[in-house]
Amino acid sequence: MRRLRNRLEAYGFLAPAGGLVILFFIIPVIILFILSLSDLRSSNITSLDWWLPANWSLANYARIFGNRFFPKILGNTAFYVVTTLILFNFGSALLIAVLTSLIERRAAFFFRLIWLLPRLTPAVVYILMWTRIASRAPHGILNQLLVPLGLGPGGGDLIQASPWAFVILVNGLIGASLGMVIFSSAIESIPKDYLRASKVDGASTLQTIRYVTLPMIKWPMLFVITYQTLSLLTSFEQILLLTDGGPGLFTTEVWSLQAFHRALSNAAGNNLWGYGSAWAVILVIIGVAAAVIYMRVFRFDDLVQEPKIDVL
Amino acid sequence: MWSKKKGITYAGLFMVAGLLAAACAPAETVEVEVTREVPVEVEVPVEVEVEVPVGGELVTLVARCRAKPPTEDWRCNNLLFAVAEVNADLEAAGDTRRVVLQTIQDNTDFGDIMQEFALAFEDDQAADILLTGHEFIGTEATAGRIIPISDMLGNYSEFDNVIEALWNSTTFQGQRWGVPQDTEARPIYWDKNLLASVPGWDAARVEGLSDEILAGNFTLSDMLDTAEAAVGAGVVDSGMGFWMRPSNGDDFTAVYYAYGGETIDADTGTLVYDAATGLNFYEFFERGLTGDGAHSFLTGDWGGSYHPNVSGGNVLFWAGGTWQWAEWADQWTGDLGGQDYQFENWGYGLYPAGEAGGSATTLSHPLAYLISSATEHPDLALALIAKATTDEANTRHAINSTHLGILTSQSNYEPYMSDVFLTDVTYMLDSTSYLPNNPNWGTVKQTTYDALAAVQAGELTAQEAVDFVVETLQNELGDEIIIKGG
Amino acid sequence: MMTLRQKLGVATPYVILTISVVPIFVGYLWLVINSFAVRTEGLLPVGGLTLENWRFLVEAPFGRGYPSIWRVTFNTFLIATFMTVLVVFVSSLAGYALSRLKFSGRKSFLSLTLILHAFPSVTLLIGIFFVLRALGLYNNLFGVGLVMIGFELPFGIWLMKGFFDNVSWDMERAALIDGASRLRVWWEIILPTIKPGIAALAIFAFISGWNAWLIPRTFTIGAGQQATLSVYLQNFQGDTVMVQWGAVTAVGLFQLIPVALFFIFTQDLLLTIYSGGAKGGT
Repeated sequence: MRRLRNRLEAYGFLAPAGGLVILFFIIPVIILFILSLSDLRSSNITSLDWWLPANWSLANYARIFGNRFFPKILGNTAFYVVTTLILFNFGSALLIAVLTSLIERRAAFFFRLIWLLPRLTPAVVYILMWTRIASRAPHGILNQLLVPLGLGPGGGDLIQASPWAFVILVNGLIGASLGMVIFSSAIESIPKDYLRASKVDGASTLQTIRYVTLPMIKWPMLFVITYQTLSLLTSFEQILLLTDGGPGLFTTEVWSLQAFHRALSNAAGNNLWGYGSAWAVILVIIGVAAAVIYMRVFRFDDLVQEPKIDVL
Repeated sequence: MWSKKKGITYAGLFMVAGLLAAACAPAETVEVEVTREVPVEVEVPVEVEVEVPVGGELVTLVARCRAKPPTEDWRCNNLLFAVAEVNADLEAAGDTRRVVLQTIQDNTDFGDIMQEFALAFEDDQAADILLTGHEFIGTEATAGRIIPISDMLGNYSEFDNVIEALWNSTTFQGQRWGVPQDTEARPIYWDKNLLASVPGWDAARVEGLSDEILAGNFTLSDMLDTAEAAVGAGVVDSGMGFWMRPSNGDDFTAVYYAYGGETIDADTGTLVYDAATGLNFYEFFERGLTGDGAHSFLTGDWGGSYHPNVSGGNVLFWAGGTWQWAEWADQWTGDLGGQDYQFENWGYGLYPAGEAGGSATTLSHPLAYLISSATEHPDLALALIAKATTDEANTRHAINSTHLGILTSQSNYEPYMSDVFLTDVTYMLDSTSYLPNNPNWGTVKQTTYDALAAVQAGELTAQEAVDFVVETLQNELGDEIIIKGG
Repeated sequence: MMTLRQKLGVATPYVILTISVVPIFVGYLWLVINSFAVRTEGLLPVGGLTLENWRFLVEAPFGRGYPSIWRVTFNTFLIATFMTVLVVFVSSLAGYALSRLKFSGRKSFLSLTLILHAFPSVTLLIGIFFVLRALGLYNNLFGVGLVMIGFELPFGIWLMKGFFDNVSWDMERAALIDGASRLRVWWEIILPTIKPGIAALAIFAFISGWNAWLIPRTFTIGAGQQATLSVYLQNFQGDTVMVQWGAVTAVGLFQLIPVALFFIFTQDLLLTIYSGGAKGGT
């Protein structure tokens, strides 16, 4: 009887989230997989019965693998995700969170707020700002500094000169703030006793960070790394606005952007939902593989402790 | 006792209730009442009062337009003004129906509006009249979401007044599917002072350049020659001889057309890609990069690079849009004299023919009113559109939004003639071309642009670019595209 | 008296942090300058300063058919607040269950919610459309709200679970022995102890709601009087019309100010209140 009540209780707690997840994730995901086998597009949504197996085929996947540039796009994606994650979404996030935990509270708010600004700004305006930073002389901001010093590509457009640097920087500055806020909150949650004890024991700040703070935020670290890897894999809006995958042929084109370009942004309004789904499925497989690896490395099982109170 | 927790609980319940209430409220549409101040008319409030006769039917139609407020608002508002007239006509004809119109108008991108239309159609909520770019007709007609209107056009004399060539933009598979609403053109601009300083040019030739282009005596090669000569003579800096737009857009197709390229097969309606023309196209841009005469950049800052330089006398030839004339006058040359300064110092003309013997051309992107296939009163929808296709209605939109008018009579209509520039470029509509109406156009546009980016970055030669385009199009479209000249 | 070494130790974080914010700071400085200038060359205004770009604050720039900036801000605020409250509520319920309650499928549910973030939202939209249509919730604010909340859940559930894990069992144990229901324990005892977690989730949920654009755009037909700030900003841009970039900058800045204030509010209020509290004994 108790067990049944426990189970009902658990389901009660989970019901709102579970319901939403099933309705707006699980079912659409199943639809996504089916669509990837179909040729659903805006011009035939009125006539195609995409849910009938008779209309399924692997044509979409064949088309993707027949594109001789997809290795390049895959390589771009890997480079982009790994670099941005290490430098910003995880690296800077952790650094800023730790540093701001060491300084006076008001100053900490100030620095965290500045780091949060990119995430708060509408994408159009944020990219406008960056385009202007990198613009040619005399209007570009960086060039205003570099040209008198004789540095840089002689006043030329800096995004053209180093597109990846800007793509990583632009996205990284947005991404870092998520980890930063989470790590800050997690560090704040560490019982002050531990930190006091560490100080009493004579540990330096660096030692405290290394042996007390970091181990206590292991779960947030796993979460941020996994979540941000997936975020980086699936987001493309800033790259779209900043370089549109250029400046050359697929120079900064990542997988999610290519999916958007090929299928979901169509000059004739003919969104290729089926084809786009196939691109998405491949991306998802990569993302899931990464998530599974992370969970192994971070020993997810250990982190998901068994509840201590189950029967009372 | 009112505790904080109780307060929060009640607040939470209230919010959830509010959310549920919002669920029950139908999605609102914009009010019917409209007030607009235009340069050609005094502020006129419009309130629509409709009396339905006994036994009659009140028909509510919905119109969906894209408009950047406030300058493009006449797109839907002209239809609102038409309601009273249409009802008067219905009464005179003894028809017991009366019409009211709800408009949904905002500045959502066309792609998003078309997706919205497709999804709404699936849920039986599509608008009756849709204003959108003509290039979506291929997809919408194939999907069966819009109706052909060729047969119904004869009922209204207003449609005879539309510039004949514009109907080509709304034609698909031999039928007309929409009524043009506005258009623009993309000219080549040049700085007259800079041009006159180029060796081999004098003031007389500069003044006559637009005619020379129209006659087909000045080609794109000549233009690049001139650009390079200008750089060589120090008239402009290196890379400032000729500029295209700094991001992807329809202008690039104008160059393709200038070289005599075809995009669609007239008989079957299938897309065409001409590899020979494509080679000319990519060579044009390749030369522009290496010859030091041009500088085309695809990731550029409109406000930080393009506008200041083209309007600041730093660039010799540049490709732009007719709507930018007023923009430059408003934001960039205002202190120098605005439009007067521009008329004095800048020239404009069609895109020169690619090769000798070809025709000068430009590209226009007309918008058109389309009628949904789910509407129960297509005749009433068309009646509203007809009343919006008059000199008066179309001109107030054209002037306000600095787009071109679509009627043959507008060139003699005084309010339209008040805008000297628009009247001056109307001749371009006779030589203009359009994007093809075909559901697969998106793939062609994206692929040709990708290759162009490669050429501009020096990653592919012109020939490699064409090969890339042909290979990709065959891979993605198969027999839904005809590759010529390969 | 601090030694030089100690002084350096205190100063170092400040130095590193200051250097780190220089690029962002310069960028936003430009945004502010540009919003008050006619044109800018680099960071310097050219052609004089002006208040024209901020005119939208006092004069509706779009005519009577369109809502004013204040109405739009109010709409956006409503949506963002709703979202924040509901996301925190639903996530903390689920997070608590996953942290404390034993039931089969715990681990699967947890892994599943994280993996859901691997799906690019833009590709799921058509699938969600079919679900909404089946529920009769297409073109309905309630439907849009549900979808937006749903999208925040992978993040919210994991975050909350993580914070719940760090709370000691003692208080709960005592309360449950005393006969309190789980729900009561959750609401009255546990939630207050994870205020930093709530603060973190709240800020992100609020940002999502505030800047929401893709989901409302995809699942409603025109916004009309219910327009939000993102829609309002869109009205300033265009391909074949004049664009006033100064005004775009100004509206963009206007859009981010309330969220920045919200951040300060949640950080300050919730964290300061919390830092005084005592943690339960081991």
